[in-house]
Amino acid sequence: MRRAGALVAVLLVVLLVLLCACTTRAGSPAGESAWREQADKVLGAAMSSLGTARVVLENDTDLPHPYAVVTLQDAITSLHRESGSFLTSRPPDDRHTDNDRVVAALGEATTLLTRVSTAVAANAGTAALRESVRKAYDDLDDLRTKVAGS
Amino acid sequence: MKKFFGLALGILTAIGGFVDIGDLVTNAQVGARFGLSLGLVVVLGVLGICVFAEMSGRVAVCSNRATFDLVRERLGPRVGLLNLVASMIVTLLTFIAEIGGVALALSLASSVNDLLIIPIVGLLVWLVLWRARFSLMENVLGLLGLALVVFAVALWKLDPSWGHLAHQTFTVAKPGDEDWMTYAYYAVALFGAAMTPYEVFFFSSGGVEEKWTEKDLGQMRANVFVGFPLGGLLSLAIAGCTATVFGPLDVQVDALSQVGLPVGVALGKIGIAIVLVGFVAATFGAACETGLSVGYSLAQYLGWQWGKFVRPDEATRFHVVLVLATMLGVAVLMTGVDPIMVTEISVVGSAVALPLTYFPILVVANDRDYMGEHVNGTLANALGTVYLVVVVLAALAALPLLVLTGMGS
Amino acid sequence: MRIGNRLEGEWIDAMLHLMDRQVVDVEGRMVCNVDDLEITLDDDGGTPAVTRLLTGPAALLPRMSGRTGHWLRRRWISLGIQYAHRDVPLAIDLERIRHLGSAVELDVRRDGLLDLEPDAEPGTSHRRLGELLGMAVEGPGGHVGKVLDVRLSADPGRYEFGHLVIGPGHPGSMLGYDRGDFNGPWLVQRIVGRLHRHVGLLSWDEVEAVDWDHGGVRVTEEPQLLTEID
Repeated sequence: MRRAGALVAVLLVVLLVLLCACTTRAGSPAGESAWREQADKVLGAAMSSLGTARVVLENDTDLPHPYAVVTLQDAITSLHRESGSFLTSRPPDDRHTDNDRVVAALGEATTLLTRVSTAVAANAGTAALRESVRKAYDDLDDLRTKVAGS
Repeated sequence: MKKFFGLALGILTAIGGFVDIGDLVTNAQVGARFGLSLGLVVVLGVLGICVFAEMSGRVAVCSNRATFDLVRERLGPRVGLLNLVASMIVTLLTFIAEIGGVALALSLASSVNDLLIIPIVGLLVWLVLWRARFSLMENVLGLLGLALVVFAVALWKLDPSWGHLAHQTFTVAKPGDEDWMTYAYYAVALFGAAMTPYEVFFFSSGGVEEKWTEKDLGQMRANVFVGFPLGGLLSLAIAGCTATVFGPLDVQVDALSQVGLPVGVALGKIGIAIVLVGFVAATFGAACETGLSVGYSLAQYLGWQWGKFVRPDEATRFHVVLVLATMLGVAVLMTGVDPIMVTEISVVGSAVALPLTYFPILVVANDRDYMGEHVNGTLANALGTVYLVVVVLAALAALPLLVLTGMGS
Repeated sequence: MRIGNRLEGEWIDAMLHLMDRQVVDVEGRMVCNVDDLEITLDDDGGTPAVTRLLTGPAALLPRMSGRTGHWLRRRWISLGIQYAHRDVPLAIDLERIRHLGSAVELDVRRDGLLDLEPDAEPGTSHRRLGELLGMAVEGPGGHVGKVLDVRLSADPGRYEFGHLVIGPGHPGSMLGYDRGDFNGPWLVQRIVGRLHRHVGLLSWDEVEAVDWDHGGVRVTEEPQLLTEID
């Protein structure tokens, strides 16, 4: 009986530690360096997805249709996955403007990716999109250098 | 002539069977992020798997006992059980990743959502495990897996700066924007992907399945020492392709579609068609191998009849394990978990579980009682010992690196 | 087959050569693993002998070390509390073994082979090798070590205790580095060899008493180190 009690106690402690580790006090702002790291990561993910879209667009006549469609869907999914945690965390107080710019850029990237994906799926012309994707990619790169310093 | 044919067939299947979802994903990721600067790790891993696969094949030939028989005999039931549990977890994870990989590859060909394909893949895997002859399964899937050679062709067609790639490989040049911790994490992942423990269970059990005798030792060695390194070259070609196409754009590879994209860039629709055949064959083959390995290790630990060399109704428990493992794999994947993430975890898990499998093999390969004149020579022992140290280091480093780098992000 | 038939040799190390081996029937089909060995003790004080192979959860679970073993065994029983003989392992007579090599080969088919271990005959009692292994050995000058293995004389159907293998009980005593002509990789051999340099052999005649219930062996002499025997 005593051993069962000890077991329960150990389990409780483990649970407590896990809870503490998992809940980084909701609502409190992230530290400056943590925010920078997150912004760098999420912008990197957006660039990565746009880069993939760029490769697809530049070769879309060479790729089988379903393959191009799934590749673009994957690019959207992966950006979506990466941006989730950034969107829900609170930036440091003096970084609100930068945070807004990153969020806006993520939104633009998502919109653009969706547009590319739809156009490719519908076999519509993609020539104009090619240029927008390239520009969006370069803009993200600039923003990344500016806010995240890398 | 017939002998030559057999030899060639064995080598070709070894090449085609070498690459699995772990190799595909990890090499593509590493190529895009680090170029070929981790290429020597692949070489190290391939040499390691050669050393231990040859040893376990030799043990299977000489003693007629497969790996997990020996693990329990030599480590006792307690440590053996720990070993069993750890290896089963890793092998099951790999199994799940491979089934997911087949589904992803098929969804790339059809643009049908992979969640709809997973149950069908599970059913097919189980049917093959239940009905197909062992050698047929090995040969057909191995030969189709050869389609992945298209990565080498694509790399040649992409015509990268070869001097630059070679420079990266031999100077181990870490890209400036990555830190050493991440670099080390991916080194361990690549090593784990090349040296997955299931390959040793499978290779030794396969030796018993195919009733190898001492006459087959030469064939076995040819498969291992020619086939595996050529398979390793395919891994490097994958990394080279993603390095060339994605490297300049800073693209991170986190989907199977990205892994094949460079082939499409280089070779167009035909290239994609071939690479998809390769993906399906390689992951399906590895799904069969890992599924069997789950059954092998459990049955061997408990002394049950295992193997496809007897009729399924003579190894009922073994086949029940296969059914349950397949159902578990499908169930896990149906939760919508990303198979690529499962793959990433499984290769690191492999690195952790490596010493548990390799140590007993090294011990038994030195036992005259089992091996007679075929005990390890000086070279096998020297390499075996060096690798044991490497494998232990990788295992110790794997989990801390996983946590510290947040899975390499 | 690499290994000759150990039944034709002079002795067998119960742990090293018999425990945990695969049992194979006359047609090469696998039957089970040797999960433990039955020891028959003579009430008149005759030499104990290994008399049956034991298998099944009832044999394996108690071997999973002291506390965990007890816990697992109790859980195993409570999972099937309504069954009789839940705690009785399945047994194979030693006469059925026709070849002892990398596997234990039997001379019968496996169908319906495994039956419950019978009760001990009058004047004898049953114990298991798993109970003896790991017991502390006390000599005239104090603690000597632990029982690592039992060397049996290979008489057909009844393997009598010949010697105890006694050592400090470091990990790796099943590796066999301490016995036989092992030609291991240098590093492993050095490490394990060092851990096991105090492993010795002691004739069963020097064993004064075995306390089966509390776990302990009293001997009248120090074991002779294996490194000094050859």
